[in-house]
Amino acid sequence: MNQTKVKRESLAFKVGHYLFIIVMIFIFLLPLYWMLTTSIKTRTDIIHWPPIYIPKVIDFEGYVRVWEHQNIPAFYLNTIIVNISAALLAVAFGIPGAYAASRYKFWQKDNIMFTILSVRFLPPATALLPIFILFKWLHLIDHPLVLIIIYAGVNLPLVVWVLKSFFDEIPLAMEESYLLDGHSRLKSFFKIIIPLGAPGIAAMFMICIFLTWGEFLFAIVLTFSQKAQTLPVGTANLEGDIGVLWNQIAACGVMAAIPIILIIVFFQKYLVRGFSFGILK
Amino acid sequence: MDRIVLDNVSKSYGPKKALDNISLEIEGGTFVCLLGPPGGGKTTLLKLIAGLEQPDSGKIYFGDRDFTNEPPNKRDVSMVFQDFALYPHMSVFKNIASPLYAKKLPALEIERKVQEVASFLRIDRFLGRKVTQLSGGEMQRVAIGRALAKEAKIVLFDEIFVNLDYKLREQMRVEFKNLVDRLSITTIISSPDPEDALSLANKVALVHEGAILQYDEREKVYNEPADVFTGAYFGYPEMNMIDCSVVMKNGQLLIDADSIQIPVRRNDTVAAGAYVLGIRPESLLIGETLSTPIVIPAKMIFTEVIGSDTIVHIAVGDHTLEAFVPGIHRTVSHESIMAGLDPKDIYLFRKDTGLFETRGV
Repeated sequence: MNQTKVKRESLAFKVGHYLFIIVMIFIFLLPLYWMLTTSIKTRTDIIHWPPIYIPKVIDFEGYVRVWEHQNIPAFYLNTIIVNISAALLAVAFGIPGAYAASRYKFWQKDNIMFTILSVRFLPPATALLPIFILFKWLHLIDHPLVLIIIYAGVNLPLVVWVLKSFFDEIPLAMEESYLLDGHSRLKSFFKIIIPLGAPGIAAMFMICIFLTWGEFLFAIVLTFSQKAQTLPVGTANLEGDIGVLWNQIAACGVMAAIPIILIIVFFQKYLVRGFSFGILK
Repeated sequence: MDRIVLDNVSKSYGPKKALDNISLEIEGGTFVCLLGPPGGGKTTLLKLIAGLEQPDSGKIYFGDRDFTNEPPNKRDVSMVFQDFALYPHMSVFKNIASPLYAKKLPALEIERKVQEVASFLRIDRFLGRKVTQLSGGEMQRVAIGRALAKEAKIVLFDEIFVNLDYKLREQMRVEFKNLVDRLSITTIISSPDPEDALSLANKVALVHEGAILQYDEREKVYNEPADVFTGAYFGYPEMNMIDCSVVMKNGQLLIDADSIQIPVRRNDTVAAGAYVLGIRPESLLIGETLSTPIVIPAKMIFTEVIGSDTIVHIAVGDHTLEAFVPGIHRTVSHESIMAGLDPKDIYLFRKDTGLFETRGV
């Protein structure tokens, strides 16, 4: 008697559980679906009322136009260069920072670590004006370097914190043993910490790219030509004088999303650990 | 071979004193066991010798040279860690070869030395494998192999038997003893297990609460433990400890612990006063008829079988004592039995200081 009751409860729980998942998937995938269909609808279908949920006529005009006439390839290339460089920079500076935080005791360590993280709490808009003035003074406005430096800086605290927790999991004895083998501390960093922390480092590299891939605020304020502008800004430019080019905007959105989706699909396993601060074994 | 000298060494972690002003001199070529309960400072002591930690005060010498501030990679010391600390991203070969790479030896020489160490430890067939594919015992051999490959004069072993299961521990202990006997190195092993100290080491240092209670030959520590703690800890099962007093009765000194009365045969060995009487379980005999000088009626409470030996818990008056009996014996509750002991086997410690007074009366 009791057993069946337990079973029914767990069945109800299972149904609720899956229902919840389905609703969440629906909520998260709906905008993506809408973007995808908008990008292949004809311009009249886009503004049709009632809305057309499943397009009957498929039209790739949006893709062709943005690729051939709107300098999208240049923006695309800028986005890739800026985000990969920024992620490399953040990881390159974050690794030694995280190692120091994980292995050394230093003056006011807890406060310093909290201060580093608190940079992430700041609403970006509050720092916008001083950053603009600073980079103007450095003559870097509308230079690809400006976004690379800012994106790297914004992600650095996160990289330090997450990689610290990854490095904390590498047993101290392993490094101590390597030192006793006769190797230097620097060599143990490169031969023990870097290889064993590699999954975390790779995850953080990709997460850095995700976090700034669609960044808009700094990009639109600090860049104004094809030389440095990224896809989000390039896409926004399509909201031009002759009306909003919805199919072209959606086509840009789809193209911008493809690399991120591919990375998530192929590296899901590592990313989950990265997102969960390395606490999952 | 160089001796190791620790001179008034102290080390604290925050408010916790791990080692409090200890001095120790280890002759070259000795096999020393640092024995004591966990958290007593054994590992800290090993790390100070290895150079992985710096003492807050005091000096460390190898031979006559001051090594206190030398980093680990400049010391002629290798160490096997409790959890082996193998490099999981390297093959068995590369793990063992690691100290040889550090010495920048030519590749052929490295190959030869790794082969030599591996066949010595009978792990040569694993050389190509990843260390994560090995069993606990094999991992331990790789860890020992890596430490031996360095060919250091001092090799430290930090509680290396703790992570092995009972059967494997017995087996590794024998192998380990044979191995160390064949090498001419100074060996320091730390262990919470008195059996390690008894079966392996020449010398034993009792490390407890940041202090070295006694450093002596194994037999000496067994026969003349420095204090109550050392006496109780060094030996398995633990020594029975009973509060007693030594009194003069009819011109004869007598150890009086209520139901246990032991006459002192030689009056010069001990003076009247309050003491703790120590009886080792292995010198407490039980049976129906006994021929020991002292025979006391007792009751059996229960028996505890350990391996193929039995610890018999008996009640003598108000005292509960443990007796060690080889072989497996049945449990009979409250069976009347006789307990016997020889006054030459008993220990006396001073009640006030806990220090050793005499063995045998």
